[in-house]
Amino acid sequence: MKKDAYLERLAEVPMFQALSKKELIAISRLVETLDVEEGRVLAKEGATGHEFFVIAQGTATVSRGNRKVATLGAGDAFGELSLLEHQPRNATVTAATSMKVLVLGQREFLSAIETSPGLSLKLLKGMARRLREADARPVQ
Amino acid sequence: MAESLVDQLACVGLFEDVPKKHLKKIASLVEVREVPNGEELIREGTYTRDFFMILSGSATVSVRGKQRDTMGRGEFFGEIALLAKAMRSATVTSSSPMQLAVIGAADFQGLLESEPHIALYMLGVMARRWETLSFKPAGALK
Repeated sequence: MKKDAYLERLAEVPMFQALSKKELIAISRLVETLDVEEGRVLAKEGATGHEFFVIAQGTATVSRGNRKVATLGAGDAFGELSLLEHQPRNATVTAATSMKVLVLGQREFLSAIETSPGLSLKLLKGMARRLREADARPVQ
Repeated sequence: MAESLVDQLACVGLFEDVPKKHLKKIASLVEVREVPNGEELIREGTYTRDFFMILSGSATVSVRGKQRDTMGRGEFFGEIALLAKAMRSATVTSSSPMQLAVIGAADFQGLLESEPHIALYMLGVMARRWETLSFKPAGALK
């Protein structure tokens, strides 16, 4: 997979919505690419995680208390909260196929924010835009 | 003696990692507002530019007439429209007499730029909301 494709995936992450291309490139340098075989558990409900994942290829299932609640595919992300706070995972995510995932670690993320003070405000703006869109969806 | 504004601000989750010295400066930016029960603080679809922190009391959040959430002491609201530079996305109404700490748009932005702890805390709260919304696709729990 090409670097540009990684950038596209990262650009789809809600929190990264307001970042410039340059800032996305800076984030992409902190990211590791991981090949994952089918059946592997990427995040376990109740365990503390320190990574944020973006799915580049393949699909994963999300479950809570043994009940499947969602399926994630290319472009989907999970674990944002683990970058921001020390909280246990609120769901288990298991690879349903072989996968390629982008992994951003909490330490790398926080160091990026410390060295670039404008970044956190931009992350907030991106998140706010996405939340507004979500609020604007028809009530079901 | 009444609780000082700095002490009250220290109870707001947003400021949990902010040193007391900085809270004094923040207190100088804040206007404290007392409101009765049933007062509309933000109206959906309008363009107003304040950010609110709840010092006491509670409020309800509704979108298109449907109640979405309730909020209480230590919580904050009004950030979405300021950050997204957009109209208010929900209506917030007091559900008891309230004491609010209010900050204007420019000071709010300055605060986020100068206090990375606050920005990170806010990002965490928003990311949690996002997860709640996005992990509930229609029918997935059936």
